[in-house]
This record gives sequence, structure tokens and C-alpha cells, in this order.
Amino acid sequence: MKEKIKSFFSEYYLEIIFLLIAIILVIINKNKTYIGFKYALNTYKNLFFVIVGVALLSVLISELINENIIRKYIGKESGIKGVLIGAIFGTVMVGPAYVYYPFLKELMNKGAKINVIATTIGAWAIKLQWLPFAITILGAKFIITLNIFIFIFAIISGFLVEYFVENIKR
Amino acid sequence: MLQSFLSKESIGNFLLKFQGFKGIIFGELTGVVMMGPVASGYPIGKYLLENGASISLISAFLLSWVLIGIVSITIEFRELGVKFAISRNVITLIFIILVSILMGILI
Repeated sequence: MKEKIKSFFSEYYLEIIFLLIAIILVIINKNKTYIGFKYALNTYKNLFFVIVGVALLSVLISELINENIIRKYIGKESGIKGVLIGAIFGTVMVGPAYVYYPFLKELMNKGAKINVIATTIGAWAIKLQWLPFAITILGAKFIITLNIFIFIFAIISGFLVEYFVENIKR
Repeated sequence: MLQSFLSKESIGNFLLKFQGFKGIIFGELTGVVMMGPVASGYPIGKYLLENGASISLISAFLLSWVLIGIVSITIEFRELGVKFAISRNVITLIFIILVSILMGILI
């Protein structure tokens, strides 16, 4: 709950920043801003249902997946199976990853592998709920290739980060 | 969120100044600075594509948007440790450059 409020406020701050940028842009170049605004409005009109679907999906996923289940699976698994679970978990999760960092830290303290945690953070970059939106804008080929690379990287980075954390003495 | 689209052209025009390897680096750095849901990044990507930016630049921009963020780095340092944060982010930076070049070849 606390995390939810926190994330809400951080998002609210962004709106203010963007609003300020918008006002500055209006002062600097009225015409361009107007074109941008129209474009944005049009995009929203076209993608309204996609966005509503995204919101429903987000709520569904965050309600269905319980923290205790997550803890049980990544905390006690090890080896490639744990890594895969981490990768899939990161892929499915929605919202900004940093909100969950304290939770990931807790997992690490309870014996989860560094490997799994790094993989999860890497795979978090795959925004499953935004994929339909992304594909309508940038095309399926580009977005799918990009996300396959992120998934592969997430797994590789898990091993690399673990290696560096365990072998570099400071 | 509506307002986030407004800066699309300024970011796009800034990134359009760079090409080749320099484009990848600047795309990556801009992506790091960008905040908020990546959904507002896709229209910027489209704008870049329409104006002749390379696939590599757009890949670097979108990848670093989702993989590295200023907010997440600060929290990563505090919560997950210095060694973890440094190694993960350095590895990610290198990966983004490699994949961006690969994307340019593939697509």
C-alpha cells in the first residue's frame, strides 16, 4: 500500500514537470507545440481501448500474483530453473522496477541468488502490458526482436553480475 | 501523461543531429535520462524513424529507457549494494551498444 502511494506521487511529480516543459514549449514555439498536442490527442483517441485494456491487465496481474508465492519460488530455487523463473517473473511484472527493489533486497537476504535477482531486474525491462501498444507504433519485427534481446540479456547479465559481485573485492 | 508527448519533437530533433556510433551513444544517454513509462518513448521512436534516424539509435534509446534510469540507479545503490549496482549497470551499458549495432544489422 505504501509502495502504491509512493509510486503514485512519483508519477504525479512527473506530470508537473511535463506540464512545466509544455508551458515553456508553448512560450518558445507555439506552432510546434500545437502540432505536437494535436498529434498526442490523436494518438490517444486511436489507442484509447488499448490503454484501457492495459490498465485492466495491469490490475489483474498485480492482484493475481501474491508476494508470498513469489518469495517461495525465487527464494528457494537455484540453478537454471531459478534463473528462468526470475526471467519470467520479471517479464510478467508491471510497474517501475525500482519500487520493488526493497522487496528484491529482502529476497537476497533470505538466500535468493544474486543471479536470479539481476535476471529479474533485466527482464523487468520487457513491458508485457505495453507490447500491443509498442507494436502498433513501431512494428512487430522491431519490437519483438528488441524484446527477445532483452530476455537473452537478462539471463546473461544474471551470471555476469553474480560473477562480478562475488569475485571483485573492494 | 498527455504532456509527455509534447516534448517528443524536441527530443527527436536533438537525437536526429547524431549519426552512426555517436548516435548510439547519445541515444543511450538520452534514454538513461528519460523517466516515466516507456509508452511515451515509442512515439518518439516513431518520430525518429520517420525522420530517417538509424534503427541502432532508436534501439539504444528505447533499451536504455527501460533498462537504466536515474531513479532506479540511486535506489539500486541503496538497496542492492554498490557492487551489484555498478556491475549491473556497466554490463547493461555495454549490452545496449552491442545490441543496438546488432539491431541495425538485423532490421
